[in-house]
Amino acid sequence: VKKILFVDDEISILDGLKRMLRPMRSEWETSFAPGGEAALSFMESTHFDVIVSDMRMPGMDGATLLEIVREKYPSTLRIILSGYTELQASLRAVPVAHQFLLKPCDPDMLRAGIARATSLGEALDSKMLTTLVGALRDLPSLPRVYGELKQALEEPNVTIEKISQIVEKDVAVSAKLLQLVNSAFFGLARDVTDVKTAVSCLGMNVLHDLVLTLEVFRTFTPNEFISEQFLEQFHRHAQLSARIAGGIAQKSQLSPAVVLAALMHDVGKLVIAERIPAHLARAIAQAEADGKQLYEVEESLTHISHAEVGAYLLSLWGFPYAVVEAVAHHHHPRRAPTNSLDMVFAVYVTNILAHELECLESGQIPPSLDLELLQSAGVLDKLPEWRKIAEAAHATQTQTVG
Amino acid sequence: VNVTQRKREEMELRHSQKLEAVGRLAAGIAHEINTPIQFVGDNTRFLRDSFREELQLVQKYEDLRLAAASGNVPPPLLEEVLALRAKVDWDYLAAEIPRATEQMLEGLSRVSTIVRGMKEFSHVDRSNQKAPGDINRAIESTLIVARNELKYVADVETHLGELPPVVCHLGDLNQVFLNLLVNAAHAIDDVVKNTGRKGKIAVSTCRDGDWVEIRIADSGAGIPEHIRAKIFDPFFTTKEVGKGTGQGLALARAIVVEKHGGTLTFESTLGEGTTFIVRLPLIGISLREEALTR
Repeated sequence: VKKILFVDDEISILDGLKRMLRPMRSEWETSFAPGGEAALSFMESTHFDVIVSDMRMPGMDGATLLEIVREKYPSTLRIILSGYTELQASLRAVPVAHQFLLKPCDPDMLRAGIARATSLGEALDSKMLTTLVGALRDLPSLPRVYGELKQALEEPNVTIEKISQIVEKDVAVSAKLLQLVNSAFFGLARDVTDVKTAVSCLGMNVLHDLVLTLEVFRTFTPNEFISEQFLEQFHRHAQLSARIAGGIAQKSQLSPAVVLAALMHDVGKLVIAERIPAHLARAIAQAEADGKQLYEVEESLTHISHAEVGAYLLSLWGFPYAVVEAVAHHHHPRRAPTNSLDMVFAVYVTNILAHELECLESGQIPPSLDLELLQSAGVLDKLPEWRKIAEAAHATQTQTVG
Repeated sequence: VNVTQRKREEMELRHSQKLEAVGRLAAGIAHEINTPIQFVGDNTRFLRDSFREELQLVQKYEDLRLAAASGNVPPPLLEEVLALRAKVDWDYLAAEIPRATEQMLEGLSRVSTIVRGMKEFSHVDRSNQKAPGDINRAIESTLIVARNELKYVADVETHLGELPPVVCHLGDLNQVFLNLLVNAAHAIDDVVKNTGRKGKIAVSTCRDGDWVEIRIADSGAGIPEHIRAKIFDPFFTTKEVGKGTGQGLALARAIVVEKHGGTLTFESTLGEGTTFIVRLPLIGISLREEALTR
């Protein structure tokens, strides 16, 4: 049974919700608070799995409430439920809300939103994971790219293409925009899996508000544990993987969502860099000393690597489940459920091919491909072609950077 | 030529100001209507779902009635009735359904109040001639359309005294009241922003001999001494870009003073708030306008 707390300043709305949700009474235990203060005092005595709050309320608004909930009760899933007319106001909650649902909402929509966000957490069942990711406020952006984005948005006649090209260079901004556009709030019937569609669905006004007025994104400040170089490298790897995945997807007629999964596959590293940078720095150093992969060291330390962390974040944010799965299993494709193998394989292979090329430059040891697995999946003969795609992608990237 | 041109410019300005106000209000009004729509919808779903259960229960009772009529009530049937009654939770439904329908009716009347308020607020002054109008009603409808602009920052108190009809352009006066109310909300917002507190707006009307007086008081920060002389100047504004054009008070003054022969003044105490006072003559025709028409 899930415990869900609803918050709204209108008693009639709460009464209506309570009655409407009656058919769910065997699955959900619902509580209703007439405002932010009341909600917080409920939470002092009871643990809730989910909080669903209205945005505009007198006194404490939804964004402020969810910010406090994030700090005090990080493992609670945070949902904003608001009217379309409050879009502008709701954007304030972008850093702290996991999901955005649109009023009026029916039980099915609510159930789908909650199921999407909690399924992976239940499967992994790790307190450390829910707290680590739940308490996250936002992901850090690359200062260079962020400056470029701000500047472009100030231009009067800037095109959607140009904005998308800039956004694609930053994993944090891309992830946030895809979260928003895939939320029920925008009521799109399908999953959006590419940055360009996300940008054009959101529209320039919303983007302008998010970036320039509300400043919901934050840039990375190098610290004693994590250097700016780490972040640059992280983004180069994400970019290269996305490019390779794009090429493979085209050749093998895979879903274009593969590109998104490849772009996001290491997003967990950003979460860890943000929340426990000392831990990450130690793991990186140990991996280098022992000649191991980072995920191997992470798994030996906490049983969980950045793959699960990233997948959990994306699932909270309502990303398409295939993407979440591919991210979760990108080191261990054998552990993936069989129905999504195409996507998981593509991200697994893409990641290693990108590493191989990068390691040629850095002299580090790349992770090795599980050829037996490729063989049993019947894709071993495609490897030479994939390598070519990867080399071409790498060459393009080196050119653009140089 | 100059006079006609000036008049036309003035009209255009007034028109664009009205459009701006409508745009700003539209979002708030949509929200005010959406809220009852949501809970009326939720309650309707509840009635639909619970009716299905009630029907099952009634069917079971019908079985029981038939059994009783035939003179043979098998004991298991009685137990089934009781079990179903408990499963359906009839006691809850019996208590909750009347509440649900009450709230639905209340929601529907809220919507019609808003629709009426919008119609009255957007009153179009049919001709250049003034007509007798109900100032209290005009204030009430303005408060309805502006509710969403006000309710998050302030509680509104009204003390509307008994007023005779005032000969006026009601549509223009609605605009004046709206401007003053929105200004009051902004003044309060500057003080209570991010504090979780709310301020107070008090609206009162009374008759004073051949005049009526409308007072709109806010609990904002008050108007600083050095700008008091300038607040009625066109394009003067202290608001951030996008929140005000600096036209609101200048137009309000033009409507009250030039069109109606009334006065628009204010009293302000720093740290306590500001009260705007609109005074209108009952007969509503300014001496200047009378002189002009002759």
